[in-house]
Parts: sequence; structure tokens; C-alpha cells
Amino acid sequence: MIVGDHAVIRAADLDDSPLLHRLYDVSKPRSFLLGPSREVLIPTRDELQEVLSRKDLLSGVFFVVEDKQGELRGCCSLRGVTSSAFFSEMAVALVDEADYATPLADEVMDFIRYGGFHERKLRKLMGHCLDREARYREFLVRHGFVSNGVQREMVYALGRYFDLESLSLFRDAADDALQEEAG
Amino acid sequence: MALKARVYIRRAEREDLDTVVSWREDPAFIRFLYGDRTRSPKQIREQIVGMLGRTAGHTMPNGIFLVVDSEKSGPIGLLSIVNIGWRNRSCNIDTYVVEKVRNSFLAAISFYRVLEYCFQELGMHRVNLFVYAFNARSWRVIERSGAKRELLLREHVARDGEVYDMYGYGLLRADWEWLREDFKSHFKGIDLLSMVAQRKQAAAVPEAAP
Amino acid sequence: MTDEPRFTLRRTERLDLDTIIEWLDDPAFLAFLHGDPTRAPKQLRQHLAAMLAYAAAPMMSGGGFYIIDSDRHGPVGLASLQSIGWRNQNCEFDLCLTEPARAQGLDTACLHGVIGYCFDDLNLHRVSRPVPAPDSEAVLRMEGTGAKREAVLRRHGLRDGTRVDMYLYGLLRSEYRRPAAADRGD
Repeated sequence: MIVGDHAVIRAADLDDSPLLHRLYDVSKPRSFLLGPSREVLIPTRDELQEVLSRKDLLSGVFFVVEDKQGELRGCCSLRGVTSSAFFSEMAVALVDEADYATPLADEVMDFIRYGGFHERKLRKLMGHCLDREARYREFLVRHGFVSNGVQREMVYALGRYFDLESLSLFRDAADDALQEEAG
Repeated sequence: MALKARVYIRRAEREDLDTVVSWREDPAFIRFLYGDRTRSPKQIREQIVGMLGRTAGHTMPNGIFLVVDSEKSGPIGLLSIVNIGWRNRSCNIDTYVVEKVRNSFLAAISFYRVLEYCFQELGMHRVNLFVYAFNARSWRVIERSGAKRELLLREHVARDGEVYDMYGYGLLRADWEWLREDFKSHFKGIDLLSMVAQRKQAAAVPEAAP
Repeated sequence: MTDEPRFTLRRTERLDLDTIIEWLDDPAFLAFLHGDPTRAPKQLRQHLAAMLAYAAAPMMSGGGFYIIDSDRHGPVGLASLQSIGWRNQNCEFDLCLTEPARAQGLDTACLHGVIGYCFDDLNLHRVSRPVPAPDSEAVLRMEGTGAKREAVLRRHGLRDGTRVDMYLYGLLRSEYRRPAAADRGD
């Protein structure tokens, strides 16, 4: 468990399933919900519980984010890390999108960056956002992510197509940004 | 005048196994498989077996593999349609053709036909194509189709100790309609229906002496 | 945004089993699920559990049963989506509401919820639904969506021991008359 000044980040647990299920809201499509074919996937509560009970699958990959009062504020993940890969897809999904502008979200990104670049020695992290996720995009850009481009009309939800933007953060750029922050 | 390409696409079958396995010596084919170089020949063979005939009888596949068949030389390539998202109506296409025809018109025709298959037969809204930045031959063919380069993925794939950039292309149905209209006037006879007719004709009439 | 309740579909899950079993006291539900009144409760429960497991299969299945859920009312009925043709982008559907939901007049809103799910979530191009000809209210509701009566299936259904004609309605996405308040999402 990582205890920061604003956020507590810990491995996801079976007990988290009712609250986590709130994030899987079909009326609010977000990149976090996209499966391998970039389709919006909403698991049932049964499926979510089953996944959360698989410690072997989730270990080091999927985390919940709480505030200092112990309230669940979202989750984050480093997906697709394999021994041969040198990058990973990351996602930070906060229940309240206004939270992306808060220090709590910044601490989550610090955790992701540290886990990706220093613990796993990855070269880059990749994030995605739908064109409706303006706050999430701002959050990624604020932390040094650079756009790789936009895939047009990529995701179908709510009766229309959404564009999907891909963004990357390289380890060197992240280190430079951290040094800049440190002054 | 209608072109007679003498090259066809068809579903891959188990009978193609030996031919497709023989392509694994070609680095371009290993890239097509997105293979990890640490994999054993047995593992590569298993991947190929999984690709051939896996869609038979399947109503809703998320991957379809097509063989490019030449009337003269037999199988000369493989086309993969993977990551099919039936709600997004999108998929990823990868193409492989053997070295000797890679520069020829046949490769472009096969590519056009697989696009036609995706849009006209599978009803796709969008096709994704990912290609190594160094593979200019491939991405030029892709760009001629009207696909837009949407992504530049820097230092994205490692092969043999080198790290390569990749381009991500997207072709929307509207782009395809434009291409089809444009292509129709220049290259009559290469669409799927003509292909089927030509294949029937070739099967019915024994090849004439040269 | 709208104050109208929003109805959508979600896949059934184990937690729904008891709710659905309660609904089976309603003969309309029993008929909808092809239940046989002679079945013992245990048999029915086993049948339902198997059905729910099927419905909870990956989302890209050929169809199954879905809960009609409302942000205001909770679960109000079941919808069945059958023969989903992913290449042709079509399916056949039917729905059955609980007695309280019917009493509250939620039929039309739920019908739009099911159709909206087919078009806006599953990206289908066409839906069809067989409606018993004597059920004049259901016929009117279907016609209100813009659906066209495309076929009469003579003596196709059995209702209370009587063979009845069924009308097959077809609705194309381009013809769908959406309710004014059909504002999904943000």
C-alpha cells in the first residue's frame, strides 16, 4: 500500500467490486473501458468479482485509489506488461472527472511513472483518451504525455463514433520533467 | 478492358499448413506474425495452426485469415483480419506476400481485395493498419488506398536489438467508397465478384498452351 | 438532460436470480421464458441459473436475456435479443415487464430502451420483433417506433390455448422514431 499526502494506492481487492462497478458506466464511455478490440466492455458484477479474486492476474497491474478518508476515488492500471515488451499501456480512471486536476491524481501519476519506469524499467508508457475525455487528456499532457495522433471514429458508444487519441510518455522525458519540477 | 489478375484470395485452410510454415524463414513473415524472436519453431508452428481454418463454422470470429493464391504459383501470401470489433465495426489488417511478388501489382491487388472484403462483406466501418516506418513499400501502397496516417508510434517495436517506429493508418468507409469509385474507372476486373468469375472460368477451362 | 427515467439493458448476472424467480409468479413472465407451470420450483431455478450463465457469456454472443434496468426504478423486466447477426447487424427481440412496471405505464419507455440499446450500444442496423396480433396495445407501441409490419405469421403463436397470428415488425435504424427525451449519457 502506498500512502501519499492525498491518495492511498493499494492492490485491488474482492471487497472493492461494488464500488469499482460504478466506474463501468455505459452512459459515460471512457478509454479505461476499452477491451482489446477497442470496444466498450462493461463486465457484470459476477465477472468483476471473478477478476478481482484472481490475485495472479492482478498483482502489480491493477490498483484502487482512495482518498485519505478511505473513500474509493478510482483505479489505475499498467496493462500489457510482458517480459518482451518495453512499454505498457497505463490508465487512470477516477470516478469524478474533476479529480484529474487535483494533487490526488498527481500522486497516482507519480506512482504509475515510478512503477513503469523504475520498477519495470519500461521505455515508455502509453495512454489513450476518447474525444469526450478532455479532463483526462489535460491530466496526461500536464504530466508530459505527447500525442501520437488520433484514430478517427474508432469507438462506437451512445449511438455515435468517438475518436481515440493515443499519447506516449518516454522515460527520458519523464525524468527531465521530474528534474524540472524539482527545480 | 477488365484486368485478369490471376490471383485470388480465399479462406486459409489446414491444407495450407506446410506452405505457410515454409515462409517462416522470411523475416517479413516473422514480422507479420508479430513474433517474439525467442519463440521456438514449434511455437511458431502452433501459432500458424491456430490461424488456419480456425474460423470454419464460427459465426462471429474475431480473426479471419485469407490466403493469396496465384493461378500459376499457388499460395503466395497471407492476409490477416484480426481484432474484429463487431460493435465498433472495425478490424486490423496485416498483409504478407512472398518476396518474389512483393514489388508486383499482385500485392496491391490482394490488398485492394482484402479491403473490399472488409467493407463489403464484413460491413466494417473502419480498417486499421499498422506498419513499420522503415517499410516504405508497404505504407506507400496503404497511402495510395486513401488511408490516413493517424498515429506515429515512436520506438514502438523491438526486432533483433533495434527499436523501430510504427505508423498507424485508418481507412474509414467513406475513404473506401472514394477509393472504390476511383479504382473502378482504372482497374476494372479486380473486384471480388470479378475475381470469383475469373476463378470459376479458370477452373472450368484447362490452361491453354503458351 | 432530462428528468425522464432512463431504461437500458444490462447482461443478467447471478445476483439477479432471486429477482427473476419472484417475477415468475406472473404468468406473463412464465410464458415469456417458456416456463411450464408443471415444473417444480427447483427445476425452474436450475433452468434459470443455466439461462443466466448463458446470458452472462461474453458480450459478443449470438444473443440471450438481458435485464431492463432503470436509474430510477431498478430492474423492471427482461428483454431477449436473439439471433444477433453481427455481420448483417440485425437481431430479433422481445421484452416482458413486471406487473408493477406495466401498471406504471412504462411499456413504451422500456420498448425504446431495448431498441436504443440495439442501435446505440450494439450498433445494429435493423431489429425485428414478433407481436401477437390480438395485442393491439403492443401493436400500436411498435408502430409508434416507426417499425413496419413486414409479415403476418399465421397461427404462429399459442396464447392461452388458442393459436394466434403474429405480426413480424421490422425497424431500420434510419426509420427509428426516437422519443424526444432519448438523451443518453452526458
